[in-house]
Amino acid sequence: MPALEVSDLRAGYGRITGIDGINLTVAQGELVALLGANGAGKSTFLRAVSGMIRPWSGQVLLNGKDVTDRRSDQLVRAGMAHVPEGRRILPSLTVEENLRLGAFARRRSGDPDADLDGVLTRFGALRERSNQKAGTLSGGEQQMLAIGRALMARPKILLLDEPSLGLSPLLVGEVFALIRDLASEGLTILLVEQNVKQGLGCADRGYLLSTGSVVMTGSAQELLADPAVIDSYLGGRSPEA
Amino acid sequence: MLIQQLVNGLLLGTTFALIALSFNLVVGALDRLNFALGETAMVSAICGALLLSRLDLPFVLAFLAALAVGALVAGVTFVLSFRFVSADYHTAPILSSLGVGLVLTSLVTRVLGSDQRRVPTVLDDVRIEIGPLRIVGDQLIILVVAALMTVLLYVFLNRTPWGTAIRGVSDDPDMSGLLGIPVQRVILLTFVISGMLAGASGLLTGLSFHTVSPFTGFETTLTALMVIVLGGLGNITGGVIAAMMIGVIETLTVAYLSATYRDLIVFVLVGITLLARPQGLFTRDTGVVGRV
Amino acid sequence: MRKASPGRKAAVLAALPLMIVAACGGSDDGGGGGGSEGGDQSDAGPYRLGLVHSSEGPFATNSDTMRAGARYAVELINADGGVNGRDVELVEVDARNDPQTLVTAIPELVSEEEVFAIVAPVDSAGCEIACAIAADLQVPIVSAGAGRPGVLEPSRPWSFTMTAPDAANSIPVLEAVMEQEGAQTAAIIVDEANATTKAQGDLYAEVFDGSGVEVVSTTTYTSGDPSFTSQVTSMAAENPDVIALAAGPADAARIAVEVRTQGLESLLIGTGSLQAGGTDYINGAGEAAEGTITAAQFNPDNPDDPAATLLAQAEEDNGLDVVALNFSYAFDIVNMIAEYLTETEATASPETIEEDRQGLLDYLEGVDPYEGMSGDVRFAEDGTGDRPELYAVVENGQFVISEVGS
Ligand SMILES: Nc1ncnc2c1ncn2[C@@H]1O[C@H](COP(=O)(O)OP(=O)(O)OP(=O)(O)O)[C@@H](O)[C@H]1O
Ligand SMILES: [Mg+2]
Repeated sequence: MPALEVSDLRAGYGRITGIDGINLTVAQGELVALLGANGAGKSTFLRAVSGMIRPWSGQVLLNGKDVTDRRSDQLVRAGMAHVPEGRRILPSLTVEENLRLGAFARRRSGDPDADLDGVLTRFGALRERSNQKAGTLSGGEQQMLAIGRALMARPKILLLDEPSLGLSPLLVGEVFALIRDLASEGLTILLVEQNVKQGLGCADRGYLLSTGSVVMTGSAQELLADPAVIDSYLGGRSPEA
Repeated sequence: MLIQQLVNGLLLGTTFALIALSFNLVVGALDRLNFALGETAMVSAICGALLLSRLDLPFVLAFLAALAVGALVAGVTFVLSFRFVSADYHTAPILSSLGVGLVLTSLVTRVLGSDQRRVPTVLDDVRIEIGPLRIVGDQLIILVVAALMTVLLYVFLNRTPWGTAIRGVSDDPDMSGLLGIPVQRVILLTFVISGMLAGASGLLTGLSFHTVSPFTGFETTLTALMVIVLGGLGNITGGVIAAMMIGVIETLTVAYLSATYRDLIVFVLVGITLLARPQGLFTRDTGVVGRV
Repeated sequence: MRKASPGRKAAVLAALPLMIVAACGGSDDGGGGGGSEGGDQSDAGPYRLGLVHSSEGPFATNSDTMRAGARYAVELINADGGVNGRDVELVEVDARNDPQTLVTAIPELVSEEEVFAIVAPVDSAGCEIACAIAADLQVPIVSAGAGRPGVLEPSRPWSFTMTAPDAANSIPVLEAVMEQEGAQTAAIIVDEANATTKAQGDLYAEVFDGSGVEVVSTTTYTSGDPSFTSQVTSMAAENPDVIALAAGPADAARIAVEVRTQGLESLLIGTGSLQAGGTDYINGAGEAAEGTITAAQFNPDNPDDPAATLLAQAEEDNGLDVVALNFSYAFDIVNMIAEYLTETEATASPETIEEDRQGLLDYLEGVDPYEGMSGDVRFAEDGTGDRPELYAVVENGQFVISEVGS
C-alpha cells in the first residue's frame, strides 16, 4: 500500500486553476521529487494534499485511507507533515515554542521532551537559540527550524516545499544532505523543487509538472537522462552528449 | 489630593485595561474586532450584580458566574458572527457582532428590565490610608483581581500548550493548522477567554461604579476602542498603558476642569493619535486601518 | 426637539381642519338631549380621556406608576357606575420617549379618538411638547409629574401640572432644613447634561445663599457617567457638612454609595424630584441612602381624610407598600375631570365638546381645593400645582414625611 496516493486532484484559487487533474503516488519509504517551473502548480498541489486549501475534486489516500477534505490539523494526526514554501516560522514565538507547537497534536502521547532533545541535537545551531524569538533567526536556521518543527509531529510522510530556496550554496548542500539522511532513516518524503538537478539527485522517482498537469514521470535516472528534461531544465546539454 | 486623584485614575484605568485586553486578544487571533464585547461585559455584570444583590452570593461566586456568562456569550458570538462569515468580507463580522450586541441589550432589557442594578459593596469596612492616600476595600479588590487576571493570562499565554497555540494562531493561522493545531477550536478558546476578561471587567466596573446599567454596552466598546487605538491595535502592553493614561486623564479632567470636557479631551487625544501615529502610541508595525 | 418642530406644526395644521369641521357641525344643534334625563347619558357611549405614557427613557418607571394611578381611578369610577351613567375610557398612547411620536400621537388622540382631555407625560420634556400641541388644538391637558420651571409656558392656559415646580417648593423647605441642621459648609454635585438637574444646581446655590451656608465645592458630571470617585474625592477634601445632589435618582444613588464608601459623613440632601423618584434612589443606594433629606410635596402617609382613606384603599387594592407621587397625582387628575363632568353634566359630545373643554379649564383653575389622594389640590396662576411644603427623611429604606417647622 502506497504511503500517499493522489488521483485526479484539481484545485485552485477562486476562478484560477492551480492544478488540473494530478495523479501521483509515493510508496512507503520512497523519496519522490515534484519538479516544475515557476507557477507550475507544485505548491498548490501540496496545499491541496495537506488541507491548506480545499480540493475541487479528486481523491487523496494516506496509507490507503481516504483523507480528501480533511483539515490540516487532522492530517497531522494521521501522520502527514507539510513544511510550506517560505518556511512560515512563527516569528513572535521562541524557537523552543515553535518546536513544541510541532508536537501539539501528540503532546499527551509519546515523549515530546525527548523529541525536542532529539531535534535540538540534530540541529545544534537551534539549541543555542532555543529561547530566542524565531523571527530573529537567519534564513538557514529558519529552514532548519521549519523542518525540525515538522519532525516534532513524528510524521510518516513529510511534504517539503522548496527547502533550498533563498539559501547560500553551502546551506543548500546541507539541506539536501539532511533530506538524504531523513530518507535513509526510512521517512517517506515528497520534495518540491525548482532545482531539478539537485532534486532528482537525491530522489528515487520524479514527477514533472507544467501548468497544473503532470507532463512526465519516471525514475530519477530516467528523468535526468531525458533529452526533454535536459533541454528545458538542465541547461540544454545532455550528459551523454 | 492630586495624588489621590491620580490613584483614582489608575484604578479606573485597570478596568479599562481588562476590557481592552479582551478586545486585543481577539484582534490578535483573528485580526478582527468583536464589537459585542461591550455588551458581553454588560450582560455578565448584570448577572453578577443580580447574584450579589438578590441571592446574597459571596463575591467570589458572583465573579466566577460573571466569568462563565462572559465566556458563554463570547463563544456564542463567535459562532454567530465569525465562524461562518467569510474572511473575504472584512466588514461582515463588524456588522454581525454589532448586531449581536444590539440583540444582547434588548434581550437583557426585555427579560431583566431596563433598571440599573445595584452592586453591593463587598469589603465594607476595609480602608487603607497611606499618608494622604486612601484606598477603600473595593478598590483593593479591583486592583488585586485585575492584576491577578492579567498575570494568569500572561502565564496561560506563555506557559501552556493552548496558550502558546493562541499566540501561534495569531502569528499565522494556516501554518498553525499545518502544525496540528485545531485552529477553529483555538479561536473559539480565544473568544471564550476574551469573554471572561470582558465579564471580569464588567463586574469590576460595576463594583467601582456601584451599579450596572443595561445600556452601557456600546459605551464600553467605545472606551475599549479608544484604548486600543491609543495603545496600538493588538498590542497588549500598549493597551494596558493606554488604559491607565485614559483613566488618569478622565479623572483629572473631571476633578480639575469639568465633566463635560472629559469625553472631548479623550476624543481629541485619540483623534490626534490617529492622525499622527495611526499605528498607536506604542506600536511600530501595522497601522489600524490595515488591520481592522 | 428642534428637529420635531416643523413636523409638529405640520401635524397641527393637518389636524385643524378636522377640528373646524367638528366645531361647525356642532354649532347648529345647540339643544343637545344629554341633559334631559337628569344625569343619565348611558346611551352616549363612554367618556374618552387620552393618556400619554412612555415605556422608554429615564422616566419610564415614573410613567408606569402614573399610568397605574390613572387606570386605578378609571377602574373605581366605572365600578361605581361611571360618570353620568357613562363609563370612562382611557385611550393610552406610548410615546417611547420620542418627541416625534408625540407630534403625531396628540392630534390623533384629539381628531380620531375624540378624547375630551388628556393626561400628559410625567416627564417635563415630553410634557412640554405634548402640552404645546394640545394647547394648539384647545384641549385641556394635565401632567402628573412635570416640574421643570417654565414647562407650561408655551401651552397656557390649556395645560396644568399637579407638581409644584422644584424651586417654588424646595427652596423654602431646604432653607428651613439647613437652619434646623445647623449646617455651615456645603458641596454641590451637578449633572451638567440635563436641564432639570442644572436648574437644581442653581436652586441649591440659592438655598445656601439664603441660609448663610458656605459652598466649599462644586463638582460636575454628565448623566450616565461611569464613575463618581473623582468628584467625591474632590468633595471629601473639603469635608462639607452637606452634600447637595443635583442629580437624577439613579445617579444620586451611586453618588450616595460613593460618598459613604469614601467614609464621608456629610448630610445628603435632594430636591423634591429626588423624593418623587424615591424608589430608584433608595433601591440604588441601599444603606447609603439612610438619613438623606429631601424637600417633598406629597405625603403618602397623609393622616387627613379623604387622602388617608384613599391612600389606604389604593395600597390595599394595588398591593403597594407605599403610594407613589405620580400614582396619586394621576389618580386625582382623572377624578377631578370626572367630578367636573358630574357636576356640570357635560356631555362632551361633538356638538358641545369645545364648550365642555373650556368648562373644564375654568373648573381646574377654580378648584380651591379639590380634596384628593394627594391631599389638597390647587393650581397657581401659571397652572402649576400649589403644594404643601414638606420634607422627607430616609429611614429604614423609606421616605418619612414631616412638615417644615414641626
Ligand atoms: N494564493 C493564490 N491566489 C491566487 N492564485 C495563486 C495563489 N497561489 C498561486 N496561485 C496561482 O496558481 C498557479 C500555481 O501556483 P503555485 O504556487 O502552485 O506554483 P509553484 O509551482 O509552486 O510555483 P513556484 O515555483 O513559483 O513556487 C499560478 O498560476 C499562481 O499564480
Ligand atoms: Mg511554490
